[in-house]
Amino acid sequence: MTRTAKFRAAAFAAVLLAMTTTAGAAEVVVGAIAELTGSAADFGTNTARGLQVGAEWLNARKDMSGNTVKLIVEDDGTDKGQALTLLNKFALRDNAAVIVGTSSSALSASIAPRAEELKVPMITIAYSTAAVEGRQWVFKATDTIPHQFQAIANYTADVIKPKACVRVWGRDNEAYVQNSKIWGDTVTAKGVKILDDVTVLISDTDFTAAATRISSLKPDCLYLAISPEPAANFVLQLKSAGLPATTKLIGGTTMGSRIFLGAAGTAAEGTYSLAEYSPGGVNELGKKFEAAYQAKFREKPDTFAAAGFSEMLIIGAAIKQAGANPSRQAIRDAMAGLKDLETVIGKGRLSMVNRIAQYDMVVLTVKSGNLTVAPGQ
Amino acid sequence: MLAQQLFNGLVLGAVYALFALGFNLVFGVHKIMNLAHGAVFMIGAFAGLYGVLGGLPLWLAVLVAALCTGLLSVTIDALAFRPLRTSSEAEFAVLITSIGVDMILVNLALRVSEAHTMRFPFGVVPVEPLLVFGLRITPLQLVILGAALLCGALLAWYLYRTSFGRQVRAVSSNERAAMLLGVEPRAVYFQTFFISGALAGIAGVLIGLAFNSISFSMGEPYLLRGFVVLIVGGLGSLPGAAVAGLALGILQTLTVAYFPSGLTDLIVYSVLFLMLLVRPNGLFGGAIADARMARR
Amino acid sequence: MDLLAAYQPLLDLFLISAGFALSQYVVLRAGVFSIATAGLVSIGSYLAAILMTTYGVSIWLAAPAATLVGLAFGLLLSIPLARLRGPYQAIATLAFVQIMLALALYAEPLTGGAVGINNIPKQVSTLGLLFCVALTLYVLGSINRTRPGRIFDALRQDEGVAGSLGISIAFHHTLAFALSGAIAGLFGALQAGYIYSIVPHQYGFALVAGTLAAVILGGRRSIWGPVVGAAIMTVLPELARPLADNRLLLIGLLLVVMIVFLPQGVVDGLLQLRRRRRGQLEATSKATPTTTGGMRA
Repeated sequence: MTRTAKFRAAAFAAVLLAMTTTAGAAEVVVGAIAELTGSAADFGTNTARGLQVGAEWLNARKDMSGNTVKLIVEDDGTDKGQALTLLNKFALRDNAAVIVGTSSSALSASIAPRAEELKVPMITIAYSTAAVEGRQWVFKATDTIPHQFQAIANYTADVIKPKACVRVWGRDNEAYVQNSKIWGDTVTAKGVKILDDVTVLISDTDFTAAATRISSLKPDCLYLAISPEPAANFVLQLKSAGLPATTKLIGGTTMGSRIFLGAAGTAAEGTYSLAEYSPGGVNELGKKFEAAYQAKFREKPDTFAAAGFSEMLIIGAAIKQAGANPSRQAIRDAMAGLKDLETVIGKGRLSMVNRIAQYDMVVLTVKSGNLTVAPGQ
Repeated sequence: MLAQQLFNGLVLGAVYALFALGFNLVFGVHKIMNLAHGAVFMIGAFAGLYGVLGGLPLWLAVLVAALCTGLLSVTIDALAFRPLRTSSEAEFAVLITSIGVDMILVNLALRVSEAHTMRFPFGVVPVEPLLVFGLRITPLQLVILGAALLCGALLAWYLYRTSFGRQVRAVSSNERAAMLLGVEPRAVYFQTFFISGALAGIAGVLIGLAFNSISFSMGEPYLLRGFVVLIVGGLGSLPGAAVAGLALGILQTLTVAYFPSGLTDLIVYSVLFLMLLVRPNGLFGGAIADARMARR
Repeated sequence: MDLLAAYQPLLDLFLISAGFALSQYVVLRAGVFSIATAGLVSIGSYLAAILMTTYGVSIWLAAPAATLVGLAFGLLLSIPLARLRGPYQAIATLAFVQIMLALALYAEPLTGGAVGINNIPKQVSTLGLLFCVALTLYVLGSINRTRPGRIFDALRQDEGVAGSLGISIAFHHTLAFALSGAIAGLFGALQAGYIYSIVPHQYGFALVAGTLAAVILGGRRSIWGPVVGAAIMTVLPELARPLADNRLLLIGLLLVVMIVFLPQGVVDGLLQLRRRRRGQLEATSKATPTTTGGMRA
């Protein structure tokens, strides 16, 4: 070969090589719409943190068919208008392949139709299924309330076996409305009597009146469906109001959170809760997640952070399955078919069923200040 | 149970009264509706918390919090309200600047607390309730009632027994005339805003203790309740604010106790609306501005 | 163009906010210190949402229906509020807003309670919004130029004098309330037909404060005041995005600064500056004494 020919051949080979390596190394943009300010700031902030830890985790493991993930988190101020604007911005301007958002049921229901219109996969941890129903492109990273809360309802009726209970829930949050209904229906069907229903607003802090009212009824058990801090407050005010020590306190996922335990102190002893995320993690992955989260944010993760991390794991698995430089359609199809994915929530394994993540929940109880698996499961 | 609920209501009402006293003082004297008052209340709670976390005994933390919020309130006046005093649009403009200040303070608190809800450490006030006449009274409830009474008494003494207080009352009834008589308005503004802020701060710490919850958004519900107290008690009437605050606390507690929950807000605001129709000057009002007088 | 498409929702949201601001503006201009707009909007929104989801009614019917119902509620409100003035009106209307909010949360079978109403068909387009805003501006502009508008000005400045001149205060206040209600109802329906779902929380104090801020910031005399104010309030959070968590801080700061320098609002303030610079006598009366004769410090 002449020298110029050799040179040309080498150049051609170099370009070919470059093309093959770059062909697989796509940076998949994930746009996260998060409530970092506004009324849902607490949940949104932690979810976003879980996402960040998840993105770093995925990029470090390098197990996504050569792709990397670029996570962009923006604040929607717990405002529908801003959430919609962000969705359009991510999908149309930033070329996001996946949209994550939001932790608020109201907001996710509002932006889901647009994601469907734009044909971009969207995944949310919101409790309501309104965003997902009847759509093809919207996914839910947390299990449905009926499926989750069967566990605690059955445990109450079959193991704790109270005679009469009082139900309390936050009326301005659909998740709490729904889960308290499911619990109530199940235990009533199994013979437990519900003495009284008390509703509060989750922004309330003064429960003295309600606590006094409930304590005077002396129920065998009390079911609480409110967010962690109000729940802790409520429990403390109940004890102050003279709730008998024999009354069993049962709650959903919020009462298993570290926030609740920290806030309620000794009053949390003996409470039952449902674990989406068990502090300390249920498996190796959970322990590693906690360590990574703690290293980055200097505090332990809560259930929202864990859900955010799990969301990222789902996205990562979908990208991996979709192959190098995946299209939105490919990611969507892969996500819909995920089975038996290792995660940090529930008992550690989830599968996508009708675009909703399904996993088994654990009932926990507090013994000597620590969360342990409740006996009799 | 009724007696217990009445007592609970009284305690809640004491805090409402403290909050409303500060709000009403500024409104009654200067006709400024300070929508940032809720945020000042919230900052007071945080200040008290950090005081306690920093090792101060509770009583000192409360004083420090009151000092902080008093100064904060004065600063707000200096930066957001005073520049507007000569403007003809003052009435509306101060509403907006107070909204702006509220946003700033809420955002600061959000950043500092990282959006989390915080609480006082355990044991700051002993928790075990005492049994008196069949009522369960926690030491905290006693602290709240005591603090409210003390503040109320101090305020009354200040307004009716000191020359400063006379000046404040003079300005409140007619600022121009007061100035002609030699009252220095700047001093009056300083004092009213300081006291208003201090009262809000104390109320904030007490609420933070009572309900075990301190968050950046805790001010708004109290601001809204503050309006109710303002009207029911009578704009500009401090005894009115105190009585209406207590009444509201009792009303709210009783509605939670005896009615299906969910009706509480409805009942409270309907009472307010009715009050405005029937007796808009409130229980004690009428001295300052007649509600029916045409705006001039 | 993708860039345009990316920011179109911002335009739509601005138009809806402008509508709310115009509803708030009308009452303030007539000297009525009502902040009931958020409550009236919620009535329009829920009515339209229920009509569109449960009964399959199209926005072409739902919007006019909401406008009429809004007008009716405005009229209803004006009755009790006729006897109140100033801050008393403000607080009464705030109570109204809170009552509506509580009702929306409580009347679950009708309003969906905390969940609100979902899956409202999106039938409102940018063009439709532009048309409605233009129509509202036309109607309000016409009013401003004719006798009712001048009476509103008189009432705002000195009600006693206006009354002594034989002007029916009650009628004009009622007119202002009716207009405010109608506009609020209309744009409430438009919002429902645009954002797919509504919840009670979005009609609370935040909407009251934001709408009021838009009007006061923009100016409450010229009809362009609320429009400019709404534009500022809509665009500001987006412009401030690089500041991430500190956006509220910036917006609050800007609100304070803007009002201190232009207390009459951006539009009215700039207009006044322009007039002053041209050496003309100020057309707007500067001395509008407040309730206790002039504050000085």
